[in-house]
Amino acid sequence: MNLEEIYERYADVCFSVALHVLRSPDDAEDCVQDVFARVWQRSDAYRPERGSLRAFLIACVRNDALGRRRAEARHRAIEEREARLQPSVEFEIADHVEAERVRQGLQRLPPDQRRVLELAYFGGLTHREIAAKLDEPLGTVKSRLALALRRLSRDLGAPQGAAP
Amino acid sequence: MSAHFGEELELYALGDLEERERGAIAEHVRTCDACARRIGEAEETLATMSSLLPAYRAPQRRRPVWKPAARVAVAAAFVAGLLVAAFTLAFINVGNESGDDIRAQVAMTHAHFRHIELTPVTAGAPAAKVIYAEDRSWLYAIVDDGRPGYRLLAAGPSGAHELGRLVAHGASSSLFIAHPTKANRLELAFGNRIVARGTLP
Repeated sequence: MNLEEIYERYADVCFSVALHVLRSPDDAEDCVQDVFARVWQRSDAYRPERGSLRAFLIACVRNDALGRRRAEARHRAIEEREARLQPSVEFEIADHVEAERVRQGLQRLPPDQRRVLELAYFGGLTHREIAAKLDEPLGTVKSRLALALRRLSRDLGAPQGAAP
Repeated sequence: MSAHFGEELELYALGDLEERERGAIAEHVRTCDACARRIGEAEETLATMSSLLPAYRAPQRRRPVWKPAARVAVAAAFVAGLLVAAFTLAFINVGNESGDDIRAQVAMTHAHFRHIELTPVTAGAPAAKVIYAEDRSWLYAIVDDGRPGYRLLAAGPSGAHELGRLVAHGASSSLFIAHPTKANRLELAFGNRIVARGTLP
């Protein structure tokens, strides 16, 4: 698969993930293009043993987006962008079957674990922000997050070493 | 190999670790399949969770156009219908590309060409490729290392002779030979040491 094919196949989901974190189509687009170019230029960055290329790219994009957000302390600006987001990009219906499977998996988590995972992933909060919000020690929050993710992975039967 | 990591692997996948800790884990999973798989599993789950996010289409307008650093190279690759993989080494730092790179790109857009990967013969040898015109009218060597000191040699029965010195620029080095060469057996030397070899078919 060449770069263009990879972009065609995965850009939309990566863009959606970046947009969720950055709330700016321009920033999300920059983020996705930077990550794709970087991963492509460093051919050793991705190892199939690790998992699917899709999951790897999404993780890279999400990490890059979180880094941009932290580095530029844009929280306030991001909140201000919320209202302007919808008209500027084309919205699609998500995969309802997959979404329902994830939703049920999250429901089966212990409430304290589900809460921290939702705050981290959907709320985009840092571990410290979650600890402050819930008034819990940082170490507890980190352990709950890791446990939640492990448990959800087992529950969803995430493929191990799946082909890209 | 260092000891396996624990819950840090899930936190790594979530993307909220200090840079130093991220670096240590990234280095570890380069050689540890077990930890790499565990991160992969967490990443797979997080990717699945993205189905709960609103889905958008990535903008079309900039799809074929990459950041300035890679624009020239990737554009050349698309125009020529190349395996882009052949070029990834070459244009890591196109921002300060050498004249050789530009000449090579121009040549590649006007000719049929192939490429070979040089085989490392020493530990730690950088990745290296040679792109060449089918009619052997030009040859372009690229090394994924920006240190000066690489030379391309043609090996023959009576020994090797130097075809040229690679020019270091940024994170890579390259050499464009714009004249016909009959050399088939190529060697890449760093200083006086042969680090990679390859044979043009």
